[in-house]
Amino acid sequence: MTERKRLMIIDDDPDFVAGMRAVLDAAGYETEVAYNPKDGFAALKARPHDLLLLDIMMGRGAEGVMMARKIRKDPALEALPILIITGIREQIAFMFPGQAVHPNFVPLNELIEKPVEPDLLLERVAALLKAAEARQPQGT
Amino acid sequence: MQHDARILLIDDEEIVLDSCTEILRDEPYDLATAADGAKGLEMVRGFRPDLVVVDLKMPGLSGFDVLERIREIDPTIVPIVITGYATVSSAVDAMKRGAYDFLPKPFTPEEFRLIVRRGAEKRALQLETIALRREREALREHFAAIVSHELKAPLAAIQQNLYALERELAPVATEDQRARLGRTKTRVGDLLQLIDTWRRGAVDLDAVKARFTAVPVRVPVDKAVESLGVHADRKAVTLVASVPEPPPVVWGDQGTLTQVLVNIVGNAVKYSREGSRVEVTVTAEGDEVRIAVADSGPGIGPEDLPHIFEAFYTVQPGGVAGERGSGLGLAVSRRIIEAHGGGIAVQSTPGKGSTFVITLPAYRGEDPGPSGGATAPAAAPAKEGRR
Repeated sequence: MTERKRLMIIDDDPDFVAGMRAVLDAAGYETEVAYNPKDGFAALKARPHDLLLLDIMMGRGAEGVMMARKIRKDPALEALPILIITGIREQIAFMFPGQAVHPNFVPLNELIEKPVEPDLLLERVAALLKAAEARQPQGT
Repeated sequence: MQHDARILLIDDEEIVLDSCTEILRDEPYDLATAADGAKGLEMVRGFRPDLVVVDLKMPGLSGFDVLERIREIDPTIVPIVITGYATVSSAVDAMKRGAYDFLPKPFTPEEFRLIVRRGAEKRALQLETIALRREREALREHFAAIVSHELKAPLAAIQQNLYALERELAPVATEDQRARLGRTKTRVGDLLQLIDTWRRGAVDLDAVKARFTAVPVRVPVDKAVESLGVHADRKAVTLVASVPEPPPVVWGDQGTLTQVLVNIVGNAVKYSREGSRVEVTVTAEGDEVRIAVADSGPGIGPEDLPHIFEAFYTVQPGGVAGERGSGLGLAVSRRIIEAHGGGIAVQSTPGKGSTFVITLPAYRGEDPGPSGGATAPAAAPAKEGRR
């Protein structure tokens, strides 16, 4: 059996995180949480992660978007798959129903809406991890 | 007004331009003149006047033509008409074409000054009204965005924990506990949906109109059918759409049109019995595009039918257990369709089903411009009015 996948969660709502984390933990993932973008970015830089689950509306606005763009510009993190989990379906997801997030918004991501049904969450996490592995077969 | 009122004088007689300029010399206006209608219209675009004083009788473009073009360029500009051939019918004609005031030649300097002053005041009020309305819309939308996020965040946290608890407790929970947990989830889900619908209802329709483009009707129809596929499958409802070739095109906003279709088709699926059929049929008839959404659900009673497009009006569904709406979806949908210059109607037979028909003006390949209907679409009603 391969090593447990390590997931980073950045979301400013501890109760929401608790509900989501319980599902991910039960499915055998190792999860780490940061409750603001600053701590989250530091944690991502400190040790490698296999996937980031990122909230959009944090702090004074859509800080999650800034965060995702920053990650994409960072040579050490640019390949990290990002799954956006957001409550603002109206502004973003509705424009692209059933599609990956618009390339002009944040590249290479997927977006699901809060709250997320456990089966859907686990399926998306597994799919993104698999896609990332296929891109980098030797692993790091 | 932030700046001195800008006034454009259009007259083919130099002496009139000169004397009018002289009369207004000491007034706080920014003046410009044009010797014919074509030059005048060019200046309407460049100089951006608040007030246009135009002679009705000119070689080339007449004052009437100028009035109409001004209204197309910016309907908030205040036009004043002067003429040497003052008749009641020409005055009425000028007013019909949007003139704010009418001044027969010859006029005294004081008359001219007064009429210009009145026009400038009217323009200032007009601008103020527009600014206030914009502010109100922006506030409402911004407020709605914040409120919906603040309402949804705790509900999402609750729901996420219910999801987790349901799985964690599955091995030990009794049948009754599982059922109660399930119902709690449903209620929280309904509340989340209600907030989405309310948020959509607070949409700034002027901003939506500014986004209008040519939209092939197929696109919102397909998106709606796709996003409702799961819901339909779950109820074993067959959802089919048919769009003629070539696909009709309308002038509108794809996002909000998709919202409307998701709402109408979603209702049809929601109130359908298991195993029945929902059909979305697009047809082009003359200058109209019709989108019909037909279900064979319980139908709507004649006592409810006149009210279903009213906000917060809900129908007690007959025969479909557990489905209930917020009473906002149809009201919001109607608002959006009317902003597109269209209409929405319903026919229903209790026990047999309902058919919602959305009609939209067909798009003929010409940008109708921001006023939305001055030239195309051809089906737009001829009656005009300032907004």
